[in-house]
Amino acid sequence: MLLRVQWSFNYTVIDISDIYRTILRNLLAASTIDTIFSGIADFCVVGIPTIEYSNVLLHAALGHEAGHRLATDYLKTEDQKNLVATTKAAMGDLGWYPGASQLPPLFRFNVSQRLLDGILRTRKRALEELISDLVGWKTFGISALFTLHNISLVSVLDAPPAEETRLYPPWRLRLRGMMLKLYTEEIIEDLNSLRGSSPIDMIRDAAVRYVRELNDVVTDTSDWNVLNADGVLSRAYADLGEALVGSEAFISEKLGMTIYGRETFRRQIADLLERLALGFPPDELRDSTIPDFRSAMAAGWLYKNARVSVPYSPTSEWEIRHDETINRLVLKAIESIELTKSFEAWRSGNM
Amino acid sequence: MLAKSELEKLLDTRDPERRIVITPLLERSQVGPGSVDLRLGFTFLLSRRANIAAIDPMATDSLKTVEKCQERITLSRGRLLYLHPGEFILGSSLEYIGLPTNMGAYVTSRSSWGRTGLVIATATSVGPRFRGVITLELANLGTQPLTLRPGVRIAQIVFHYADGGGEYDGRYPCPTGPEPGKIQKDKDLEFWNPS
Repeated sequence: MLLRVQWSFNYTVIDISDIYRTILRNLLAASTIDTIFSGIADFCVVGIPTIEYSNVLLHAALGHEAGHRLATDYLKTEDQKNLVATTKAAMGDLGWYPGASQLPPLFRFNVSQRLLDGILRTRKRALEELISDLVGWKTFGISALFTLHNISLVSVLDAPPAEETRLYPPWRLRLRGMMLKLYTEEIIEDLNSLRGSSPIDMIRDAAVRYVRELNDVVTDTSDWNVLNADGVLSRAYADLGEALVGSEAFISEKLGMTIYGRETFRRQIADLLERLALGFPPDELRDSTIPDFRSAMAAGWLYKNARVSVPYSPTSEWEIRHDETINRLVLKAIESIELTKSFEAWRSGNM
Repeated sequence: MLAKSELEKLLDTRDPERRIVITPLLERSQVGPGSVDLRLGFTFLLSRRANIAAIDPMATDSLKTVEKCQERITLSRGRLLYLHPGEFILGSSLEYIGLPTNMGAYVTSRSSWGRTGLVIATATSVGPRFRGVITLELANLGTQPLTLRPGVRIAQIVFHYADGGGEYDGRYPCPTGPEPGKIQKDKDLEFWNPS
């Protein structure tokens, strides 16, 4: 795996072995290509936007990017014949498409094929993003929600899928998907039950307020108004909820132990917030064990959103430089956590 | 100076007002009879030749001048850094240190490294309530290049009690890597540099 910064404002995970395979396909025999690439299942280049290089908290977006590979795998398992049949049925006689009824049969067939292709591509792109969001949530938890919200702030919330935006689904719809997980997995309860002296109480109140405001954003269904007003988009998005539910078991099975569960979050978050408040990297729990690095990221996000000073002092106002301090402390924590794990594995002879 | 049993007690206490924090403390054996061994971190500020007349701390653009002749690099585990005779670089401790209000510390070389010609730190004092990694000024005073490996035990920190400590108001809040000097922040510089 290679890590690179890139000019474009996008997190990416690209398997370049696929690209090389494609390039070599016309030059070499398939068996030769297989020999060259034997032992290289995939070779990923992870891209981080240059401007966000030091913004460690936002790197939770990599969970979503890694999710694209699982989304692709899942979408391959869908029954394509059935999908085409149900889409055709939903398209009906094209009475909903302006001017379709006046077209001669051959032209009408042509339009029908183009619409079918458009609906299926739009549906696929929406599912790619939404399933990847689900993977982001399952691997990074609440950090994935905060990351998605942060990135969405520079975009139009209800922008409909369009070729110019590579058929991205509306941001509001994506945020709604993650908010649904926040409530169904009862993370909201864990936020509400954060207890401790200042600034933990302030962080809890800020988190609850943040979620409430985000809830207002997703309760507004103006994205669906935009989607339903378009015959292609409404048909492409008609069964997304059902398809997403179907993908969850597949994703959970593939992710296995890498899922960042509620229990881990609930058990670790308060201790790590306390560490940050004291000006330490969130890399140790009260019982001296090391936490999950995703808990360190979540602590960083919650602390950052509360806008209190680091280290916390009741007499110090929040300043923009504290965000940078949080990022550095969280990065230091992630490095320490992973280094400690490697060192302990080496010491116990497992390395 | 704090000896081993007291050090261990203060490392283990949960009371944040008394606790010494050293993280990550990869091995308990780093705690010695009167000090704690510190490991070399992964990030360095290397000196490089630059087309500047001098580093003048009193100049308004002194920080930019310093940045011109320093390059920040981060090594991964297993990578090496060669420090040539006469060369000077900034590194940092791997460990993030947190001191309580009533405690100070100083950082010194480990004698094993000193004997190879490596000078580890020249500004050794750490004030009460400091939080951060320790910037190490590394210079090779020997005649042969030295191989530095991130993670090796390179320095030691000695703790002592300090009376009358308050909030840390130094110019290096929570550093997590080596930091260049900030002499230009001295408030009385203007007096010594009348225009």
